[in-house]
Amino acid sequence: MAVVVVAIAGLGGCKQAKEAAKKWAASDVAADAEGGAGAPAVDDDAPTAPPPRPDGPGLEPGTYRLVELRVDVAPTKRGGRAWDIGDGVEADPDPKAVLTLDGHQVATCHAADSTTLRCAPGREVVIEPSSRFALEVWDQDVLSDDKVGTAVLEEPQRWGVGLELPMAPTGQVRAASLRLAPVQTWWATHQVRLLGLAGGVGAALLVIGAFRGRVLVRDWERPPPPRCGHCNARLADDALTCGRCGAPT
Amino acid sequence: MKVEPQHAIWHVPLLVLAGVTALAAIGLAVLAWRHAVAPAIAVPAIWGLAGASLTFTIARVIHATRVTRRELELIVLGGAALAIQLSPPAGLVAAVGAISLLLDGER
Repeated sequence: MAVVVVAIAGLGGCKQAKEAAKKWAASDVAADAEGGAGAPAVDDDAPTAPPPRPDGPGLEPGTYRLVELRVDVAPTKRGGRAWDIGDGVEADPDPKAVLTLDGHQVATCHAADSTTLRCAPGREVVIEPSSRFALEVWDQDVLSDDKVGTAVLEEPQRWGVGLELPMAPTGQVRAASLRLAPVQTWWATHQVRLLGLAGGVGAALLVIGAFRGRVLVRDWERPPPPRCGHCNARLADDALTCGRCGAPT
Repeated sequence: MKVEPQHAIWHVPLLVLAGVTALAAIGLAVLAWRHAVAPAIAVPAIWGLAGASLTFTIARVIHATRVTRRELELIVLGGAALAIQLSPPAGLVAAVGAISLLLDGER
C-alpha cells in the first residue's frame, strides 16, 4: 500500500494518491464483507481455536519484569487478501501490538513487513490476584491502521516466572504469549561486573607485590642545592669555600 | 626545556601498566561492541582490566613523592565511569567531582 501511494504521489501528486488509497480501502471492505475468495466468514471476536491456558504454578502478587512479548499474525486478512500491496514480504503486515495490564498500557511493539512480532519490553509490572493482560494488534498503514485481532491472558493463579504464558487469541492473531521474570536485585544485576572488577584489582595487587622492586620506582627528584655545613648558606656548585663564612666546602 | 632521562615516562612503570591495561580494556570493549567477543567473557574482562588500571594508578599516587593533578583527575574520572554503571546516583556524584576537578585545574 505504501509503495503504491508513494508511486502515485510521485507521478501524479497527493490527490491521486488519496483517491487510490480510498479505492483500495473500499475494495478491501467489500472483499471482507463477501468473505473473500470463498473463505468462510469468521467472527472477529470469536476465538479461532480452543484458547490456550497457561500451566504454571501461579504467581504471588508483586512486582515482576515483562521480559518478552511474542505475537504471530495470520499471513493474510480474513478473506485471504494480503495485508499490504506488494510481493513477498512487502505483502506482510506491519504489526503493532499494544499490551495493557488491568487497563493500563505497559508495552508497545512494532515490526515491519512481518507476520511475527517479538520484543523485550523490560518494564516492571505489578501483578494482582485478579490481573488481566489484554493485547490489541494492528496493521499499521499509511492512512488508517487495520485491526488484526486481540488476545487476553487471565488467571494469574496459573501463571509462572520464566514460562511462556500463552494468551487466548482472537481475529487474525494466530498466537500470542508473554514471559515474566522476577525483578533482579542489585547484586544479581552487577554480580559479573563486580567479580571481574575484584579479580582485576586482585591481579594488579599481585603484580605490584611480585615486581615490587621494578614497579615501585621512586620519582626522580632534583637533589637539594649544596649548603655550607657551618653557616647553612647556599653554595655555588663549583665553590671551594663558603661565600659567607669562608669555611671550606 | 631540556628533557633528561630521569623525566622519561618509562621511569614510572606503574603509570605505563595502568595505561596498557586501560588500552586493553578499551580494545576489548570495541571488540565486544562489534560482537567479536561474547559478552559473557567480555564484560568481566573489561571490568577486570579497568579495575587493574585504576589499582595501578592509585598505587602510583600512593607511592609517588609528587602527584600531578592529571593523575588525580584520571582516578576520579575512571572511578566515575565505573560507578555510574553500578549506581547512577553514585556515578553522578563522582562525575560532578571529576568535572569540578577539571574546571578547577583549568584556572
